[in-house]
Amino acid sequence: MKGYLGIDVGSVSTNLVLLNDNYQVLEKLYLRTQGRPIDTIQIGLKKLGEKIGDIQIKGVGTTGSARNLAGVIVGADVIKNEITAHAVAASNVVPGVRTVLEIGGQDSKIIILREGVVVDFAMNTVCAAGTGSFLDQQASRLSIPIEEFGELALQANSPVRIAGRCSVFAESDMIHKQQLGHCTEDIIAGLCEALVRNYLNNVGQGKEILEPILFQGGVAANKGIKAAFSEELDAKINVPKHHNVMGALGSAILAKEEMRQKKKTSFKGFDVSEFSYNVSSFECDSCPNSCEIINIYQDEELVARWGFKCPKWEAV
Amino acid sequence: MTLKVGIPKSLLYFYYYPGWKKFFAELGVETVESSSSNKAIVNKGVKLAIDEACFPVKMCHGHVLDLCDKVDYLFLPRIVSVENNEYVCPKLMGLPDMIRSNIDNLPQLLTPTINRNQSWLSLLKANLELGAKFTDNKLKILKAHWKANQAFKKYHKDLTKSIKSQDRLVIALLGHSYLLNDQYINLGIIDKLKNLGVEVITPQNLTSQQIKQGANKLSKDLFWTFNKRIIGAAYYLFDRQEIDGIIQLAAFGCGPDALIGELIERRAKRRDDIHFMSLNLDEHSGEAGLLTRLEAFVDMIKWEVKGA
Repeated sequence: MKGYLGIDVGSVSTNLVLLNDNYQVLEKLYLRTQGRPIDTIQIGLKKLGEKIGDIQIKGVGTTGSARNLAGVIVGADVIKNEITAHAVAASNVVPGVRTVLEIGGQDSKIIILREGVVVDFAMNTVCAAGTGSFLDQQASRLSIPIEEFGELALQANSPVRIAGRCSVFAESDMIHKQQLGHCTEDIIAGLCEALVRNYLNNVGQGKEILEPILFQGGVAANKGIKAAFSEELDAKINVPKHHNVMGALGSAILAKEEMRQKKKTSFKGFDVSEFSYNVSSFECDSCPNSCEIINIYQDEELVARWGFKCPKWEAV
Repeated sequence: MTLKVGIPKSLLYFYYYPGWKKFFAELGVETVESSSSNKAIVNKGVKLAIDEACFPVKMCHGHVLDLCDKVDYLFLPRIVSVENNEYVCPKLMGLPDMIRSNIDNLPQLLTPTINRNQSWLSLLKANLELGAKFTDNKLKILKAHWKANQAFKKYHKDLTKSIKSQDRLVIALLGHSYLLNDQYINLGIIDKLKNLGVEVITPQNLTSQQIKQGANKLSKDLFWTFNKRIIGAAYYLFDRQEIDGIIQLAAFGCGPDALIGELIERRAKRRDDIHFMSLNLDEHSGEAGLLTRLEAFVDMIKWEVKGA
């Protein structure tokens, strides 16, 4: 058997997808990055290697905010930004898709496609309100498992109005409403509505949102947010089966496409999990920029270095 | 001993510096520039400036501090208006006051007021007054004024270029000169775009005639001179078939930038072949977010050209 591996290392989750030649997902993994991307990638590879047994990896793609780091560790054939990866995955799953709503751990994006081609996109600017991390934080403040968060929102009778502009305001607004005695369900439903309003105002500003609409990213698992989108846009919101690993899926597809031109994969093998990776960082004091340089070692060998603004540290 | 005048390398420096330096040189005054923006300057500037100021204004505080104990005078012109019936940003008009109230132990400030709306001779008057601090020779000052003007014009003429590329993507990068020319603030965006195989054109590469031609298409006149130039560049380029995309660089919190960004985006929507993206610049130095957007923007255009 042959397969293509896609790895998406984001702020909150690290996802791996194994794809076969017919674009079918053979295996997928969703792991929490927990602030330790290198360990998580190694754990992911080990788990995946044990699960799939005898499959030959023909190509590897990485994406997500740690795509370069992941690329170095696994030996990626293609390293692509997450917007392109999500768009590729979406149009592969639903060929005629015209709008992709994606909400991840720390960023949210909207991608507008027409006839299979990306024509416009936007990502949240300086504000992370309404992304997965904030929902996580609120869920734990209310001692509700994040998996039940959306379900609870659906049970609300009359959602309260929560300020969605900024996560700090939203939190204080939620506390005010809770101290007035509103029930948790109504507050959570209000929060879902506020986040959707904020998303559409911020990321969706001026975008022509047409059906079919795909809702993906970790937050797509939240039924409350999905319902709020459906209500606000007055449209059907589709959550694809592999919604939480769409970036990895797109990156596996990109790897497959890349391998049409490339002969041999650069994949280092599942043994990567056996290596020990060490990171050292230091502040360069050659100029007032004080660049924070990061060295990445595989066992004793320096395999990558970044963080510099000038060529002084370029050579590895 | 020659007197030293310090010029902060920030804000309108990037638009006017050849003229400023020439003026002082003609008067036999030595000029000292602050270092190019760096982390130390940012840290100092952010600490001193008011929170509501945009990032470039905050940085200017750091540049001033960088010069403080190296010079006898600090050159901080109060530029109110440079075109008839137009203004520059209020934060730039008030810059000398802001610096004075936020920073102690300043060298003597030179703050000539340039207000074209009061008199078309405003610049000349300001220069005569400024020059009188260094020489009694009026003729010498007049000559310096004239030479500075020539140097300024030559600088802008030398920057103009036409788009050559046939096979590469061309992206117009629009924004204030102090965003486009300060690599620290813009996180090296021009090099990043070049590395992605893109030819970059900025408003500075267009002639003032071309920019005027574009700005004439505005349904209502804009009274912010520098923003009018940026949107003029955009409108000029919209009438042609030379560019594949527009990236607007805006300083976070800048009202005029937000306004023209919206106007440019609306116009871009009418063109299938020109994509638009706006990027907000502020204190963050993490480049990953910027690179993600640039890569995706370039991918989007290439994808379309290639037809998936």
